[in-house]
Formats: sequence, structure tokens, C-alpha cells
Amino acid sequence: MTTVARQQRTRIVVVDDHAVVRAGLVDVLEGWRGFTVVASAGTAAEAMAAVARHRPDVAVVDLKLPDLSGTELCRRLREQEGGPRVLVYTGFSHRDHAVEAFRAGADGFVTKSGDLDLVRRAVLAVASGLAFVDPVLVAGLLDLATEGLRHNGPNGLSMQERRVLERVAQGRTNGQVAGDLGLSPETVRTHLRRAMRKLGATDRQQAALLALKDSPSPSPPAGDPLAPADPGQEGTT
Amino acid sequence: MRVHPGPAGRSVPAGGGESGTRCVRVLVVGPVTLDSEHRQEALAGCAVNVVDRLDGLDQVRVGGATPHVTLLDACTEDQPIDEAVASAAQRLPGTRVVVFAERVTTVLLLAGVVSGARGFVARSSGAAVLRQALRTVLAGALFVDPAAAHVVVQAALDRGVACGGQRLTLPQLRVLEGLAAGLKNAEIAARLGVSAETVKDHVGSLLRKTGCRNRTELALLATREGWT
Repeated sequence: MTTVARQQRTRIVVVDDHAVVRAGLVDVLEGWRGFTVVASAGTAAEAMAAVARHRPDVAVVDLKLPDLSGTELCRRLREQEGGPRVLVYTGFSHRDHAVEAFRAGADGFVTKSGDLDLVRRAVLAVASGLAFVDPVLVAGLLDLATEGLRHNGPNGLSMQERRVLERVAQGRTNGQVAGDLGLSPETVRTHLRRAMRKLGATDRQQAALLALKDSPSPSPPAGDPLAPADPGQEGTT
Repeated sequence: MRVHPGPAGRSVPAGGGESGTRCVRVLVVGPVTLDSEHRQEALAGCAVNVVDRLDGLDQVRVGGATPHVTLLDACTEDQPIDEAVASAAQRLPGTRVVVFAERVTTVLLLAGVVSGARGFVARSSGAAVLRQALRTVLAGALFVDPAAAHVVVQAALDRGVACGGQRLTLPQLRVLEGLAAGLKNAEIAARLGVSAETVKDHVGSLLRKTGCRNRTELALLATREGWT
């Protein structure tokens, strides 16, 4: 362990409760140009002491530590004035662990199942002030981010577009559909135009067929279909 | 460098059939996507066969082999990105849509994911990122440009886009995008295919949820937060 600050190098503290993992990670990091490991620690207490002493650029932190959760360590490290950027390096690969760590202030999250180059890219990213997300977690995190937005049915049709198409399929004219749904004929035409665009259909009949073939028609939405959409609610008007 | 099955182990669809080499069929939609030399190089290095370049999705011909990947330039289509992606998926069933954009913003990412896009790449990112994107989506996974990692994190923490504890809906986000681009209500309405009245309602909700006093503040907020 060296206490000499080498300029231009990213100074790293490695925190992991497994001695073998710790030693391996130190070796790997030291082997890459531009990185130097200034200290390693097996517990959160050791980590706090090492960080206070060496003022590293980056702390690479395991989530499972004997004295404190890695998430809590993240929080404490990030609360410090001039504290290091934190990269979580863990065997846990569930998105909830990542969310928890990011909420605690982690800058990056990498699982131990990935290849080592991922660690190198992650350290580089967090050291330069960017975030880093393990590619295996991206889909899970985006699921979480889009949960509330996925109210549209298959084909990306809105409820209203689907309602219009259902009536077209029943042979109703635009004027009748407008009457059925309490819309202006112009709005009905707009819904049809959008639905056709989404479906790649060339006419309204084809759009109706395409929309209804892929999925059973949904049960009618709760509430009065004639009521204007609440702007606070999801749904395309 | 050759495209090969990714870590997920799913195979790349066999294509081309030329002298037994595995070749990935890529359709490019948009004027600027592959203009720069390094992108052409990236694709060439990938054993990629750019089957066609189109100015817009309306030029897609029915029939023929479906491209494995469609690189869709976000600025190509005069419609919201989710509609463009849905339209591409509809015209080319089974193709994996990778969206190219000036920046990978929150709205682009969320609307794109909801509509089924499989990849997001910023125009300014290099050939290596594009290669990575192709490899990832061909392996069946979702790819987001590493330069936009913070967007993914923030959106996951906020469960979308949140402001003062209130989440914004997709229609609101689309309107916000138009606002931030400096469009008038009527222009946003035309772009989204809704009435100007509806746009006005959405603007009202946005003002209420964000606590902004006017459209200008909304536009500034959206830009500052990287939403649009």
C-alpha cells in the first residue's frame, strides 16, 4: 500500500469482506494503466478509516459487509465532504439492490457475474463523474421506470383509439362512432389516423382488423366513456 | 470485429446466406444516421449488410427479408418516437429497433422502451458503442448508450419522471417535449394528432404538477433536468 499520491491516476479503495476477492480485485485494478489501489478494507469501519486517510477518487464497495450494509456505507461515504465516488461491486444482481444503492448515492453498480472489462469501464465512468449501470440491469431498471406508463395496449394503441377501432370493426361509420363515444367526427378521424399510423394500415377497415386480431378486446374501461379524459390520468385523448 | 451471439447466448438470426457467412441485415432509416465515416466502418466491421437506406418509414416496402435490426433516426419521422417505433415494428415484424438521437433523453428513452425499441444510441457516441448496441440487441437484450446511464438511474428512482412527488404521464411528457422544442400548442397538437384543447389541458396539468408559473419555466425545467 502506498500513501504517495500519484497524479493523473485514479486512486481507488477496495472494500470487500472476502479476502480472496479483495486481493484479486486489487491485482486486477493495479494491472490496468491509470488505476492505483491506495488501500483495501474488509469492513465498513476499515473502509471509513481508509477513505479518511487516503482520500481516494473512487471506492469500490461490496454490498455484503460484516459490520454495515454496503448501501449504508455508500450513504456515509457520499455524505462526507469531498468523499469518493462510489462503485458498488456485488454478487447481487436484482434491480432492487441497484435501486437501493443508487438511492443511497452510489454512482455505479456492477455485478460480479460480468466480465472484468466491465469493472474497468465502470471505474473509468464513475471516476470521470458519470453514472454506470451494469448492462444486465438496464432492462430491469427500465421496467421499473416505465411501469406507470404502460397503460396502452398492444400495438401502442391508446384506449380511445382501440374503442374507435372496435366500433369500426362493427361496421359503424365515423359519424356513428362519434355519436357512440361523444366525440366530434374530427376527433374520431384523428384517432383513426393515429391508429392507422401505429398499425401501418392503409385504411380504417384494415386498421380495425389488425388491432383486433392480436388481442382479445379488452373489457370496457371503468367509468363513463363519454367523460373527458382526466389530464392527470394516463391515456391518450 | 464480427457480430456474434451475446452473453445471453441467443443466436443471431442467420441471414444473407452469402457464402455461408453470417450476416446481419440492417435497415437504416434517416438521412444522417450513417453519414459519418466511422459509423460505416463500425457496421462494415460487424459483418453487417446494410440492406437499404430510407428517408422515412413510409418508404418501407412490404415483402423481402425483414431486417434483423432497424436503425431509426429519431429526427427522421415527424411524429413522436413511440409512434415511429411502433410503426417500424408493425411494418417490419420481428425487427429490432435501435433509436439514434442527438441525445438520449428521459422522454426518448421511456417512450421508446414503452413502444418496444431495443436500443438507444447518441449520435455523438463512437463506433464502439454502435457495435456494442448491435451485439446487445441481437442477443435479445436491451441496450442503452453508457453515456445515458444517469438517465436510466434517475428514471428508475423516480419510477418515470417525477416532479414534487407527482409523476408525469406519457401524453404529458410528449407535450413537454414539444414545449421544450419551442412549439406552440397548435403545432404540438398537430404533431401528436390530438386537439389543441387537449394540449392545453396537458400544459395545465404540467404547470400544476411542476409548480412552474408558465411555459417558459416548464421548457427550462425539462431541459435542465434532461427530460427532453
